Amino acid sequence: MVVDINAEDLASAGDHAKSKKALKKEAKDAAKAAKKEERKALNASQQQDTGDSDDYSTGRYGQHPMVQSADIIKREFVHVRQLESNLAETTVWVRGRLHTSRAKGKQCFIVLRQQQYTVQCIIAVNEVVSKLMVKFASNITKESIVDVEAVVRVVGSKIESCSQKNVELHVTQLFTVSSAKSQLPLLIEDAARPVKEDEDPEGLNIRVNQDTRLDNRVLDLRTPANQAIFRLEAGVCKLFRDILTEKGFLEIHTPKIISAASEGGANVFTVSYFKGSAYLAQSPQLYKQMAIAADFDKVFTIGAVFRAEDSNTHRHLTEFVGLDLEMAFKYHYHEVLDTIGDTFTQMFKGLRDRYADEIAGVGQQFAVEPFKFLDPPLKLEFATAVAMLREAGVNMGDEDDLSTPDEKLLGRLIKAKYDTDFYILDKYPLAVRPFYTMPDPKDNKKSNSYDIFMRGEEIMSGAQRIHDPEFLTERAKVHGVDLEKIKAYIDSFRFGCPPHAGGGIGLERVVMLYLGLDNIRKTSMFPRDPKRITP
Amino acid sequence: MTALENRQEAILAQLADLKNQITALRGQLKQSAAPPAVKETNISRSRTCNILQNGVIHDIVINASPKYPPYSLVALRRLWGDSLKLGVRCHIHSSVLQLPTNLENFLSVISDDCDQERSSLLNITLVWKDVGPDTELVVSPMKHITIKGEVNILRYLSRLGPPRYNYELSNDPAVSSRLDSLLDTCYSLARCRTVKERQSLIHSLNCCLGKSQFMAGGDGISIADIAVWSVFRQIKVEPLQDLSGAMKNWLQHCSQSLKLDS
Repeated sequence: MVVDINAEDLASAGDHAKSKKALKKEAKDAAKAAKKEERKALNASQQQDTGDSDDYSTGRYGQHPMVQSADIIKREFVHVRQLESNLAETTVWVRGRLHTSRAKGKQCFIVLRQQQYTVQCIIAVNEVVSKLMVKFASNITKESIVDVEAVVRVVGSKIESCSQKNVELHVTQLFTVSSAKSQLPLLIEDAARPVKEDEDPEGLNIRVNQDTRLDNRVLDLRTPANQAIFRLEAGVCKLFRDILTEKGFLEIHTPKIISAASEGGANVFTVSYFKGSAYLAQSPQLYKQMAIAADFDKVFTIGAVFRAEDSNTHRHLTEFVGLDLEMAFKYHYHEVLDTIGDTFTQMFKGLRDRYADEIAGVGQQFAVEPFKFLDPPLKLEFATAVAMLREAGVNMGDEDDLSTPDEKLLGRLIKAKYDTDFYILDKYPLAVRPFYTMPDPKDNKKSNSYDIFMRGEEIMSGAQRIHDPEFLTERAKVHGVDLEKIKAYIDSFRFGCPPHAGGGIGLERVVMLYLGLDNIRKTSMFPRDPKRITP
Repeated sequence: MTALENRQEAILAQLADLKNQITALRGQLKQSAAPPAVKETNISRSRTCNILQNGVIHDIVINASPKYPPYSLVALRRLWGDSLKLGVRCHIHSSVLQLPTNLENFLSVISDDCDQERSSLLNITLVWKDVGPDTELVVSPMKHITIKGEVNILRYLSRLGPPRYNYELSNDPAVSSRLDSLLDTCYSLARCRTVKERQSLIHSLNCCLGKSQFMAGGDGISIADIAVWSVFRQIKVEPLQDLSGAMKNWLQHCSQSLKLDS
């Protein structure tokens, strides 16, 4: 190749090369189109040919007319997860998705999928199944919904690639209820493939990137791991509700359209509200406290929380589900902290005992380290944590807040010493907490506030709230907060309010940390972040 | 005659010289062998300085299996009494699904009153975890590796505890080595698999006890007694069947002194 070529020559050579390339491409496209035409013609002719011969399976297969509730068809369907050897030699109807199909002349192997469960089906030419039916089966597009009538047969050797390993279905009737497009934006097989560190460089290395997954969320959610994640998330929500209800808490619902920013002015979304504007709630804090002042004693709320933070990190969303609770106590805020700690411990135990299948399902695609915790939960004072960090070489003052790398290091130290992924830090310094936090009466540098951590990341920030309006006004002045803006908040305490404390967690973050996943978008069904508001 | 006298003088002078040398040496030795009382207080002061670092009390973590509860902690707490308060808080690790019911007795004796502030000098976090007979001690993963074995935990704790009960400080190497071999026998006893091995180990303990009132041969309870008492409870020794008369008396005496049931 000539090395010293000047720019113009290169450009002109490039042009020639481009036009050569363009010509080549056109030629290729034309060849492809021609081949397609040929194949179509061949198919058509083949169909016509075989169409002439007898098709003894007519009526046992085909495209089902669109289900418009024309007739009531009473038919018992069996879920794929129930297909076990106890149903051997019975005829069953199953509705599922076509996961994969493989045709070989007179036989066609189909893997039928229903949520996380898969079963192998065989359509082979025999007295009831004709060649045309086998052909029809092999042409069904992936992800189509099909109705199958089949005989359950026990297999000699286990089918490792399916979830139902002991049986296979011998199909007698096959209908497509809803076809899928032939070119799918992503294949479920690829999306469900586990990411291994020591990949065979020669082997199939197809990974689906997160943006593609989120753009085609409907397809991505069908993978067994995602099905398991969201079932676990539902479990967390259910356990939270059940455990608190049993402790005597009441579920309330707080408004999301509010008139003034509650936490800090900068991170709220503004909505146009008739002739003026309103804000989307950053947290149900104010309303939880008002409910306590209204004598509901112990409340919790599950609802959307909107934070307009321009953070594009692995653990921030602009909209997430908040699980918040607030409780009145008699003399010491530890009454509340112990309740919160016990709620978490019971929740983890419930997940460990009742959702073990889902955790294993997630483990098939993502490396999941089991979550460890202590009962009763480990509670350390902030000062002890600072001492541990100092011992490990971190330079920090007594009143400094923990930075994210500090928190992660502390998580590792505590894991090494106590072997737990879940712990509570109590008595944070007053200087780093919001104005409504009650200071510690015995040490004016500390406050009655606490943070809860999972796997070294913070999940809850809570405290005893100031319930006295005069003291609250004083503290607000010290923090330089505009009293006009929080007048309604302070007024709610003027009619007698019991001492109370509480905190709130993000559902997606808790599930992400419980499973040890790396990104919060994996645990939000349709995540919202500064760059994504669709689907 | 004069020659003899001179020789006598020379020998007397030599003798006097030797006497001076010996007196000087004795004087030196007397200075280095300081009275034990002074030595102990020095040690105890430096000991307490070590536990309180930066004015914050650090925890030590003991991981024990519910099948081998560390009874020696209860005994140690009684033994040390007020000279060094021992605070224990229990947690169950997530790998243990449920604690066996026979532990309730132990738990009621060992746990602190939850509302009490942690004013004790030495805090222990006891975590029930499936570690088998190897009870573990974790002090600071950055600086030390885990210590395994209940007898080794006793050795570590006795170094932290009041010097009176620290057998390593005693000047008599015979006593320390006897105690060490007793502790090692206990270690083996907790792990023995066959009945024959168990009986032979108990027999060797019996021989060690001999005619004395306590295992270490001294006149007070030592950590050897605590270790044997604890391991007997862990392997569920039947006093009537497995022990000789002398050992039965010892067991009763121990339990009485510690104010615990045998």
